[in-house]
Amino acid sequence: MTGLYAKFVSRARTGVLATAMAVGTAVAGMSGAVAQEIKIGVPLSLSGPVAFAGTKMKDAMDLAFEEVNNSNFLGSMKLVPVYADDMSSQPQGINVTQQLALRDQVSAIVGYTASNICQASLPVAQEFKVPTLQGDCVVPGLNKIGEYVYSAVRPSDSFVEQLVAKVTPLKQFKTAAVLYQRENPVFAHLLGVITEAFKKQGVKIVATEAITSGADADFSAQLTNIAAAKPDVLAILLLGGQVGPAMVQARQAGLDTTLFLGEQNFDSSEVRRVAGKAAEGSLYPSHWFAASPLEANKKFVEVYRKRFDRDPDTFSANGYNAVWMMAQIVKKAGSGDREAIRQAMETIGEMDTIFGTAGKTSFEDRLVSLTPFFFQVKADGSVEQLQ
Amino acid sequence: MLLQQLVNGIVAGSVYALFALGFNLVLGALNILNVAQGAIFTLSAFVAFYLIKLYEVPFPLALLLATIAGGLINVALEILVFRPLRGRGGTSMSTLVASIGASMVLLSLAQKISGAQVERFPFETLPEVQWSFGDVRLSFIQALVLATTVVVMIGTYVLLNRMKLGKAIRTMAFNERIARMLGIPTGIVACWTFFISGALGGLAGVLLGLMFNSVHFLMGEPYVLKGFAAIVIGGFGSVIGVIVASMLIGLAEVFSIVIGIGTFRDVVIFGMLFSFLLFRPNGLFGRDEELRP
Repeated sequence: MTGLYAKFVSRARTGVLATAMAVGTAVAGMSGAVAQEIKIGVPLSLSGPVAFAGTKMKDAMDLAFEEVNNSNFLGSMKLVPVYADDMSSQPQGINVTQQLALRDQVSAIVGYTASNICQASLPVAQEFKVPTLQGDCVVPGLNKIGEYVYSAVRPSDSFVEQLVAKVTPLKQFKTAAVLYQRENPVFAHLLGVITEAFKKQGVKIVATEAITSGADADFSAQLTNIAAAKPDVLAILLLGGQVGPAMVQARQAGLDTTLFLGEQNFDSSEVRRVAGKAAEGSLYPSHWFAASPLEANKKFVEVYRKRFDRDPDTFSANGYNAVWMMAQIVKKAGSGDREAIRQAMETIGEMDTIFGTAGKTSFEDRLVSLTPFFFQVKADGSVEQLQ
Repeated sequence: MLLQQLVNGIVAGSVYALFALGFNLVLGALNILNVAQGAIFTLSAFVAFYLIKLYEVPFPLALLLATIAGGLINVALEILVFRPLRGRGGTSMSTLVASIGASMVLLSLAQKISGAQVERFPFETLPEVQWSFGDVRLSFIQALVLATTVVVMIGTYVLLNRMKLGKAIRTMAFNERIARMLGIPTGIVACWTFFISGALGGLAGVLLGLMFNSVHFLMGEPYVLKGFAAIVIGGFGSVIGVIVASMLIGLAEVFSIVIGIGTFRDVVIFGMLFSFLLFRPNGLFGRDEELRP
């Protein structure tokens, strides 16, 4: 019964979503009925070291909330975002989660930017039984927190493993080095994952260097050590804002022909703008890319460019996609009741998404199912998809 | 590789020195630990970045204007924040808290302006020249940082020891009331002290933004604590001390990476700071205070 219903709702929603996103604001204001306001908590890192990602997520989430409400996608219901800045800090992440759950009495939460903040805050959301869809944290284990916590993105470890397995025979890597940020749980975890992945492919790790914090900008000493080992490939596991400067400094340190390899945060126009020609040859996986031919994605990219006069990147896409997923969940729940929303998350089945090739996803073990794409940066700064 | 790391350490130390010299000036003369120096460092880098990117201002002029902007922002802080506090008999604790507040305001401004994004100076801002001496590489910007540090060090030394303004600053550092009794216009001297301090911070911000290809709203924050460590280790008010301590910090950071304890480099730096506070609180070149019984 549930399966049939889910299928029916899914099919109906697919049509509605496509139409709704196309119709846009035209439908807004046509209904004279008073909309039922459903408060959605949106904790993001809007200041502090991760603000470069959080602010982009917010821009795209604003856009998505507007689209959901203006397109009448939820009928008589309307989503009201309640933004909260976790200031890129774990204690503040816990505070804002408590505030959203207790003071603001939100029906659900969608958001979060940094993995360490997700690790600290999502158990709080679970404790207060607030259905939560985190939209950007890629550290593993978040799906084990409890039945109220779902993820709209997948952990980066399997993507990175697949990337190493794919490109090592292609590029004939023999030696590799790793530069990572040790205080960040994602990168600390990825260090082990990528080291194992290289070893599995017969690639020798010749240097591993750490930087201390997300605010560091001088990597010259670490890169001098790495350059002395002359690796074929250098894995850069740093915050998005540090990746571009690290690439330039790596070339200056003498890594003239070494290819760079990284995770999803390489997929940023900011990285390519800062790194310039130093980024040539860089390899990375991503669940999304701006040129994806999906109709919903094309519309997102077009509207985002028009509104903000810049290209969206992974963070923007994650924010936008998470809001639309939450809208589909609320539609299925049919109300702002927390328990109804949790049940909807559990039973929703297939959802529309701007990620992947089919434009469809579903939750498996409280994680979205996604297949990554693999990319390489070309000499002119554009990106080609590796087949 | 060791020689290259030596160069890396000296260059890193030079940036700390440029930052810490300005920091030290205000601390030594007015007993104000102005942590907003980090925000001034950042805002000046943004001034130069936008002048070059949006208005295509030539680099030397942009550097000069950004340096002046750093000085003027600091003068504004003196007039709007610190002077009123001093006038009401504010303690060093109240000025510290005020400077933290000022820093947060300025950082929020920088975040708003930049949209929290990481930027870099346009690629042709400086010649992308790199000289090689055997295994050692030195880029044009690294050479510029080293040369600037030497010039600033000499300039600051001459200012404090040979010029009338410097003597007035030193007299104020000894005792502001006595300086006033001697006819020194302390308000104007304080403004000049803040201007020079902010200008040095601004100069450091632009050069660092260029050298590390990264201009963002939090770029000055790591330098506040390191700058403070350089002042404590070098000795309050000592130009030579600050330079030597900054170099020590730069070299300690780099060589902790060389010997494989890079993840503990902050432990090394702040361990040094702690040891000096315990065993030699006046720093390497600081003089013992003599108190009249």
